[in-house]
Amino acid sequence: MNRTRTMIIAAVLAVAALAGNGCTTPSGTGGVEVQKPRTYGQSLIYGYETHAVVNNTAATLAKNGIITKDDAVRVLGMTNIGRSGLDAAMRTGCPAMEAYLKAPKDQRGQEPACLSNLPPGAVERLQLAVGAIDQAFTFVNSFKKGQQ
Amino acid sequence: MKLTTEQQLALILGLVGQGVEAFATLQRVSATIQQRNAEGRDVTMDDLRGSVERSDASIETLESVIAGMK
Repeated sequence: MNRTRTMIIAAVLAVAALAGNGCTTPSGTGGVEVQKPRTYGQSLIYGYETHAVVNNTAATLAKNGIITKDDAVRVLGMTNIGRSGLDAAMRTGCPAMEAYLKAPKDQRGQEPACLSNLPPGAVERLQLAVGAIDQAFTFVNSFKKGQQ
Repeated sequence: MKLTTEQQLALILGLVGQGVEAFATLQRVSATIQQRNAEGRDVTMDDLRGSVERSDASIETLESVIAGMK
């Protein structure tokens, strides 16, 4: 049973790694076709989605006693830093989103989310935020090694 | 650490569910990007909103689990 559990954890984290590395991994890495983000908005989406995957993975590991409360708090702290960076990058490059997120959900928004002419430093800010999320992902992923 | 059979089963189900969710995320994001690239435009406000909401929900999930831990 313990061996089965280890194999499942490894498989789950491998799948999560593929999802989480989408921002930095060339298309097609790992045998799964991953569309590499080409635009600022696409990179933002990858950042937010990876943030969700890391938090949800940590929640599952914590709920089942694989990581301690301190580890879970540490993951949350790391992902919160990345999330703050993503929010700042969104405010910089996609200023209309702030009001849109507060608007009623039935208001459809099919127009482009981000500016076509980005302010100076916006891309670098976004890269830093995604880097912080990647670090949190690496931290969560390290528990796989602890299980083997 | 010794887990009971029930705990092991819960763990397996939880992690398989997480793996499915991670894979679904990968597919969803890839599909969105592929579609927007084919259309020759950037992601829409709706695309980004969905990702922000999933990110928000994950914070609540992890905070709730942490709050329930000793």
